Amino acid sequence: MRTRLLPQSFALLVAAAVAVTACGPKKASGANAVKVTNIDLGRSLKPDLTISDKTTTFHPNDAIYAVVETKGSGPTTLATRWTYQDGQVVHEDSRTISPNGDQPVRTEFHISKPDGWPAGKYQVVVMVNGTTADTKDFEVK
Amino acid sequence: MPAPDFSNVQGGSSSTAPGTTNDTGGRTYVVVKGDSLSAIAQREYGDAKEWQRIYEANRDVIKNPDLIYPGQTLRLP
Repeated sequence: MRTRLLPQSFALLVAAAVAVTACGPKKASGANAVKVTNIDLGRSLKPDLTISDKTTTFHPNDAIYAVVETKGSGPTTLATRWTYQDGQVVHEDSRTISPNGDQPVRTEFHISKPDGWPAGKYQVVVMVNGTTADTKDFEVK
Repeated sequence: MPAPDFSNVQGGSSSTAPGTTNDTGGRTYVVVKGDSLSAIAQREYGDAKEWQRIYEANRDVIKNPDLIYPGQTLRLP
C-alpha cells in the first residue's frame, strides 16, 4: 500500500507547489504604469496642448511651457521642479491625472515672470509619483 | 552677486487626461507681450470673436478687456 501511495503523494506535492507558485503574490510589474515618453519646451501652445514653437532658448519676457507626454493609466501625480543655474528653485508645480487608456496624454506646465527671466541656464525636472522621470535643460538669453 | 528673486514667478498646468485635479474648469494661458483677448481667442478657438468667453471666464482678473498684462494666467473655458 505504501508503495502505491507514494507516487500519488508526490504528485499532490508537485501540484500544490505549482499552485502556490501560480497564486503567489504578484509583483507590481508596472506594465501599464504612467511613463513619460517625451518632453517638449516652447513659448506657446496649440489647443491640443502641443508646443507650437519648440525651443530650448528663451527671451526674458517669454512664458515657458513644458509639455509632458505620457502613456499608461491610473491615478498619477506629475510634478515639475524648475531650477536656475546651480539649483536655485524657480517654481514647483504638480498635477494629478487619471488617464484611462494607452492613448498618449499631454500635460502642460508653464511658468512666467512679469519682470523677466534672468539670463542663464535653467532646468526643468519632471517627476512621476515623486520619482524623477526626465529632465530638460534650457537657456534664457 | 545676489541670487535672483523668483518669488513672483507664476505657474500653471493643464492636461488632456480625464480626471485631473488642480483644474480650474479648463486650460490656462499665460499672457505674453503683444497679446490681446481677441488674438488669444483666434489662436485658441480659431475665432477672434470668442474673446468674450475668455473675458467672462476671467472677470475676476481682467478689469478692462482691452488691458491684459504679460504674465497674467487666464482660464480658457
